[in-house]
This record gives sequence, C-alpha cells and structure tokens, in this order.
Amino acid sequence: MRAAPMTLRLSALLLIVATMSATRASAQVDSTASTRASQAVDSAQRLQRAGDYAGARALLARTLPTCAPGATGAGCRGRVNYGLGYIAQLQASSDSAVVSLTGDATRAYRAVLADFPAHQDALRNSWIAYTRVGAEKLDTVQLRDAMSADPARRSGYLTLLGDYYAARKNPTAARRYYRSALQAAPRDAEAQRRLLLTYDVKRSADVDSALVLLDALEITLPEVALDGYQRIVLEPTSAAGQDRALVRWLTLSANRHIMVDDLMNGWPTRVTSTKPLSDLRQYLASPWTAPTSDHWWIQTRERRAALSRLALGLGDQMLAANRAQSAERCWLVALDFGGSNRTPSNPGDLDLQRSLALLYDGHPEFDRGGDKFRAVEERIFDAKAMMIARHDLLAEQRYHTALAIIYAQRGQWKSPTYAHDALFQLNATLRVAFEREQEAGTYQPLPLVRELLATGLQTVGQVAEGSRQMLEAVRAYLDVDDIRRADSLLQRIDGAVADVRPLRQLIQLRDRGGSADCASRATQTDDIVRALPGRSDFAARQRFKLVADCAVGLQGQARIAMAAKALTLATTPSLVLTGAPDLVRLDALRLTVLGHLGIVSEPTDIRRGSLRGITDTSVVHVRVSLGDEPSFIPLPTRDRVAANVAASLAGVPSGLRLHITGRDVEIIAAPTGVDRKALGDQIGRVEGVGAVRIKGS
Amino acid sequence: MKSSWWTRASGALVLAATTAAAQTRPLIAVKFVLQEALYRNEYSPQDVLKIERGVADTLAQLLSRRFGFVQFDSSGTAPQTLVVTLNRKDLGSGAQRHETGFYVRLATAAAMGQDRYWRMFRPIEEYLAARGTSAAFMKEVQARFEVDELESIQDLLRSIPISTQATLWQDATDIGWILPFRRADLCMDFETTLRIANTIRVGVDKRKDFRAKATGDFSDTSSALGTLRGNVVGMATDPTADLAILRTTPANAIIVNGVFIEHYHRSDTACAAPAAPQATSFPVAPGGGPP
Repeated sequence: MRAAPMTLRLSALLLIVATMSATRASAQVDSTASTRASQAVDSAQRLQRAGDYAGARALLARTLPTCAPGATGAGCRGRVNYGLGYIAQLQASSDSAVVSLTGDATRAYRAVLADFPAHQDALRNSWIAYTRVGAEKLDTVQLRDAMSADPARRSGYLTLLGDYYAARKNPTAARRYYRSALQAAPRDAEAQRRLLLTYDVKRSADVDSALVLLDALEITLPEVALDGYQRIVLEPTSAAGQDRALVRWLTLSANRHIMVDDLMNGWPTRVTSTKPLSDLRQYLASPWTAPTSDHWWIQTRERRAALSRLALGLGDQMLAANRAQSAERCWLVALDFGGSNRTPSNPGDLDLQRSLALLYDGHPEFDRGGDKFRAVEERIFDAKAMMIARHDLLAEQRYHTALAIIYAQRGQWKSPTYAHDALFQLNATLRVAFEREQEAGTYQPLPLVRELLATGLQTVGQVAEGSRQMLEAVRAYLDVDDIRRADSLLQRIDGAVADVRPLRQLIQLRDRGGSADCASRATQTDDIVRALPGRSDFAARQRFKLVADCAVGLQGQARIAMAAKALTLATTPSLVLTGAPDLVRLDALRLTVLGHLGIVSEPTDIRRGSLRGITDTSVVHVRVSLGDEPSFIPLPTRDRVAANVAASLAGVPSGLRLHITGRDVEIIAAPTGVDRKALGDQIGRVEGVGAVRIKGS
Repeated sequence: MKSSWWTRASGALVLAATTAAAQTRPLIAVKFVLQEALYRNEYSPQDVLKIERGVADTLAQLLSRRFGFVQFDSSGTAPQTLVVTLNRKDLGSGAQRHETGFYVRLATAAAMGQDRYWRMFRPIEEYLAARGTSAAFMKEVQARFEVDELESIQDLLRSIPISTQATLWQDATDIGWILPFRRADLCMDFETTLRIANTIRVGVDKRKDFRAKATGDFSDTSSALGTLRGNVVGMATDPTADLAILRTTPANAIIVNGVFIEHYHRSDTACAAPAAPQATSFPVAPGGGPP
C-alpha cells in the first residue's frame, strides 16, 4: 500500500483550510454540487477499497473546489471533507505514517465541523482516529482542541491525555488526567484501571496509595478492584500493604466464585512459591484437611476470614456437584481454622455455621437424630450470647439474621421454645438494627429482612401486620434503588389494610427518573414526597434521589442548578445515602457542580466506621449505608459551599471561575459584562460562604 | 521493545515462526435452561421455551459486549456451547426452600462439561416469592445478569483458543507474538494477558506454554511481515531463562498450537469503527447551511 505523496496531502489540506472559513450567508443550496460530491465520495471509496488511497484522496481534493462558497456549498464541502477524513483514517490503520495520516483525517473532520459544528459522526470519527495513534505519539495540543469541540467525550480525551503522560513515564501528570476523566465519568472502568496502573506496585508507598483507591472501588467497580488487588499480588514485595492486597484479593475472588486454583496455574513460580500462595494451594488441594499451625492464612483474624470465605465457596461448589458430605467436611474444617478454642471467633464462622445448619436441614440423612443441627444451632446461640454480653451489636444483628433465615427455611415461623423461630429472630434483627442506628447513626434499609418478616406474619395469619411490614419492605427497596421489586411487593399489599397510594405515586415518579420534564414536575414531586408516610428521613432520601436523577436528564444551566440542589441535599447532616447507586449519584453531582466552577475534585474517599467521636469540622461528613457496617465520606466543606453558590445562582454562568478554600470564595473569572463587585456581594450572602475575594482587586 | 502501555511495536524482526493470517473469532453458542422444577412447572412448555430463548438472547448480547474475543450466538449451533442453567444450589437438598442460582458449563459434541455454580438468582428467603407472568419472570432472570460478575465465564473461556496461529517475533531483548487479529477485532485493551501453547520439535516433541501481555500494535516496516502491520503484539512475560528455548530452537521447529486469553481487558474504544460516509448525513436548511 502506498502512502499519499506529501505534495498531494499539502494541496488537499490547503483546500480544506481555504474552504473552512466560508461564510454561511443565506443562498440557494447547490444540490447539483452535493450530488456530485456524493458521487465523488462513492468513487473515492471504490479506489480506497482497491488499495489506491492516494487516488481516492486526489479525486476528493479535485472535487472540493467545485463546491460553491459559503452556505450554499456547505453540504457539498461537508461530504467531500468527511470523505477525505474517512479515507485518511482508514489509511492510517494500515500505514506506518499513522501520525501524519491521523493528522490529515482530523483536520478534514475539523473542516466538516466548521460547516456543521455539531456533526456527531465527524466528532466520533475524530475521537476514534486519536485513539489509534499510540499513546506516546499523541499531540496534547490537538487533543485539548478536540476535547473543547467534543465535550461529550471529555472523559475519553482526558484519559488519552493521561495515556500520553503515562507512556512518557510521568505518572503524576497521568494521574491528574485520569482523575479528571473520572470526574467526568465516575464509573469509567477504563480510566479507573489506567489510574491504578500509574501506581508502581513494587513501591510500598504506591501500594498504600493504590489500596485507598481499591477500597472504594470494591463498592463501585468491584471487578476493577479485583484486578487491582491481583496486580499487587503478582508482584510480591515485603510491603505491609501486600498482605492486605492478598487478603482482599482472596475475599473478592471467593465472593465471586472465581476458580483461584485454575487462575494460579497460570501465574509465575516466583509468585506461587511464596509462603502465602503455596499455603493457599496446599489448602485448595485438600480443603478437608485442617491447615497446620504455621499456615499463613490462619495467622490473623483477617486472613482466617478470607480463607473461610473461600471454604464457603468451595463447599457451595461441592453442594452444586451433589457432594453434600464433602461440603460438610470442608465447612467443619473451616470452622476450626486456628483451633477450636481460639478467641475471638472467626468473623467467617457465622456464614459457615449458617450454611451447615441449612445443609443439615436439607440432608437429614447426614443428621439422623438432628444432633448435628442442634449442635450448630447451639453454637450460633452461644456465639450470639457472647456478642450480646460484649454489646457487639453488629455481630448480634448478624447472628439474629442467620438464625432467622435458618428457621424460615425450616418453615419454623413460630415455636414454643423461646427465640427458636423465624419471627422472633427477624424482629430481633430489626430491633438491633434500630438500636445501632440510635447509637451510631447507622441506618440500614434491610429490605430482605422486612420482606421475610412480612411473609412470615402473613403465613401465621397476621395479615394486617404483615401488610404493614410489607409497606416497610417497599420503602426499603426504594431506598436501595430496587424499584422493580418495590413495585412488585406493593402490588401484593391489600389496599384496604394499608394506604398504598403515596408509595405508588412515588414509584411512578422514580420510574420516570431523569426524564426531561422532571423539572417541570417539581411541585408535584414536593407534594408526593411530603405526603409519604413513615420516617421523615425516608422522604428526604427519596427527594435526594429524585432531584439527582432529574439533574441527569437536564441540560445546560438547568442541569447545573438541579445538581447543585441535589448536592446540597446530600450534604445535609441528617441524610444517610444508601448503596452504590447513591455513591454514583454523589460523584456525578460533584463533577457537574465543581467541574463547571473550574474545580478539580479528589476521588471519593469512603471510610468504614461510625461518625461517633469524629469532630473534624473542616469537612462535611456524608453518611452512607453500605451493607450492615457504617460508612461515611468526608467531603471538603468547599463542596457544600460550591453547591450552595451554584444553587443560589441557578446554575454556573459561562465564564465564572471560583477558587474555594474551606468556606472562603475567590472569584477568579466572571462572565463577560457581569459586575464583579455585585457578583461578590451576591455570593457573600449565600449560606455557608465565609469571606469573598475578587482576584486582582 | 519494552512497553507497559498500548503503543506501536516496531523493531528488528529476527524470527518468524507460524505466520498468522487474519482470522475470525471463535464462535460459541449460548443456551439457557430453566431447570428448577418449581419454576419450570409453573409455565406452559411454550412459555418455558420463550423464557429460555429470551434469556439466551440476553446472555449472548451481554457476553458479546463483555468478551470481545469470542462471538456468542443464541440462535445457532457451534462447536462449543455455553450452557447456563437455573437450578437450586444444593441439588440433593430435601428442604422446603432453596437458594436458587445459575450454573455454567462449556459443552462440546464430545463432552457435556461440568456445571459450576456461578451466581445467586434468589436467596433462600425469596425462593417461594411470586414469579409473576412468564414475561415478568424472564425479566427478573435477565435483570440478574445486569450486574457485571462474569469472572466465572472468563474462567471457562480461558480454555478456548482464539487462534491456532501466531507469529513469533524477537529482537535482542524481547520476545513476542503477533496475533492474527487487530485490536479492533477483539475490542482488546492493553494489559490483557495471553497464553501461547506451543509444541517444540527438538528430538521428542515438547509442549510448552508461554505467557504474554498485549502491549501494542505491530508496526514493523519489514516487508516480510508487512501484512501483519496493525495486528496485536503480545510481549512475553516469562523469565528470560524460560524463554531461552525460543531463541535457540529453529523457527520451523516451534509450532504454535493455540493462543488463549488468560485475563481479558476490554476497551470499547478499541473496537469502535469510524462511520462511513454513506452512514452519515449533512442536513442543509432551506436557505443553505446546517439547520
């Protein structure tokens, strides 16, 4: 294949440039020229398919001057320039002169955009062309220009800029761009993975930094987190962070039923021969044999918990292969990891005990007199008593839940023996959860527990109470964004027993999510949310979700204003967000509001634990309910201030740039024609804003 | 040529073994079986068929999106079939309620393959919950696949060769293989790891696997391999000592038996194709210029 001669390329480009500046004066459309242009493009493509790229481009270069100037010839020029771009792009994919050909292609597409500024295919083709160049050969100036012309692909262009710096061994700059890309698209797995790759996993400091990121990714992008942990595991070092990576890698792999033994077969011996992995392989070869006392995976509580998760998964596979007895042996061995008398018990014990109890229930042939079931049951009750004595409410709640499920499976909703039934344990679960909420502010929706309780009550004939509990379950499902399940349960509630109308209206609203007309329904939304029965925090949370989802469906200033309103709601101290979807909402809101103010925000840092005792007032703590453990996100106070400012301005006018430190605001740039002093006064009156400065004054 | 980033590989070609011609991706049929008796018996045979077909379609689409190195097809037959079954987790349990979940296996004409438990459909406590109409049930099943938890499928796909050809490439410091695919063919991102299975014919045939990492596109200007320009290059990651055999063995004695994807990283941008001129339009307002 021959490259186009340089002279031809130059002449084609000069023609493009000459026609780019054409005016769009009103005139008659030159339809003959457009038809001729289409025919020329068809002919050029035939030449290109025959491998004659130079001929194809020369033909189009000759056609371009035949297009009329100005608006009349826009259609003709658009077609020819697009054809030129397309053919150069195809040529770039098989020619060694990829950089110059890509340059030709993108210039031709820019000429299309001069006539048709929002031409989606020209924008998209340009983007594809840049992705094919090879990171180290990219031109950052061109990339930035292209990004300005194509804001919808901002995260992609920022990722390419990150790639450029990564290829040039500048991880600091690369990280900055990847982070910016993630602000634009928080769930962009490609950008997230590239960000992780900028950390050198042979360096202990880098491993520690990567672990902070991975911790948050376990919730939002678990598959990326798993990759990240695996990458650290594959580079054994003596860094302390390595142990944590190993434990988290095994836990996530076990949770996702990954065949770690098969996986490790492909790993280098220098990795699999290390003590942790050789001990792991030894265990996998015989999970029915108790590990020796020096086994790496039973030396600490966290490692034992990880190995227990693995044992649980292995037993599940055995059950699935109809080898229940093997599963029983595997789980019994796992229950004694580290010795049967160790204290405290292994955090994974409860899941093993629950699985064993369910196994005995389903396989009476292994437990003729029921002694094994009773032994497990007794062990769970003993452990639960110990947790109650220690006032370990989280563990107590987990034990109640496990017992509830065991009894529910046996159909044992009520029992003459105290506490030995599902209804008792389900109520106890909810009671302890509420107690934890009172103590530590840890709200948990617990939809499954509530649904099971409702089912149990209806089964024993307490229909009215069952319906009331079912309403609670519907609310809980709405909290965790399972709208379909909420809707399905609502349909099972007897309307004569409970008023289902407010929740039905809410489900309809939630279903419509970010439809473009959501802003015009604000009053209706307020009325519906106000009428919601039950806890006020439920209504507040639903309002947050509705407003945040509405922002997604809007454009321009309306979107920024709506996002600012939602971000203000999210940073209200009394609100508890629920689950990964709310984290994604929060990320998107921060991007929209801060991004338009010219502020680059940090990645969301999710911390496990309660806010109790934390008195740091330099940040805004957003509480999040993730599983049964409390979590929170410390956001800079700046975020709330930015949200309040954007909400009060009903958006962020084009040209406004702010620098916010804590509560203080500096106006870096103001929109053209706006009185900076008046703007400063207006911002100064916004709630939460401290001092206001105007740059240069 | 050392690089940890997606780049264009070039350099001195020393050795070409099995020269790779352009290939198509392996085809895998997808089948869904509603095995759990309680659920299956609730619907008519026609409805069960409809559910099974509908879910298989969804799975084929989802897997095609996720694993760009394989073509999944729910409508036809292929040498290998990915069978996904919905059944109770504990197959021998006589309990009243069960956790139900999805099993996966890879079946061929010669072997059924072994079911592996993949992921939960409903926990025990939801076992008896209403299924609704066949359409509602199908939707519930399909919704479970929306969560990206496909590592078990990746485990199975690790055993499928994407090609039986690859071209060995080496210079003074590195060894790699040029695959008979372009990055766009496989929607592949860098850091994807490969296993290259070989037979080395020195005296007794010796089977030897090497590991490689996809790092770039081949851009060597050498005329001998000009047709492979733009193809994916996987650079060997095994220790130098393990690779020595590739340097000391004559090219015609190294036979590539299969190229396998060990750990796949997808890139949507890698497989995006530019829109052809015929696929686009240039709307012009009545007075000229864009509307």
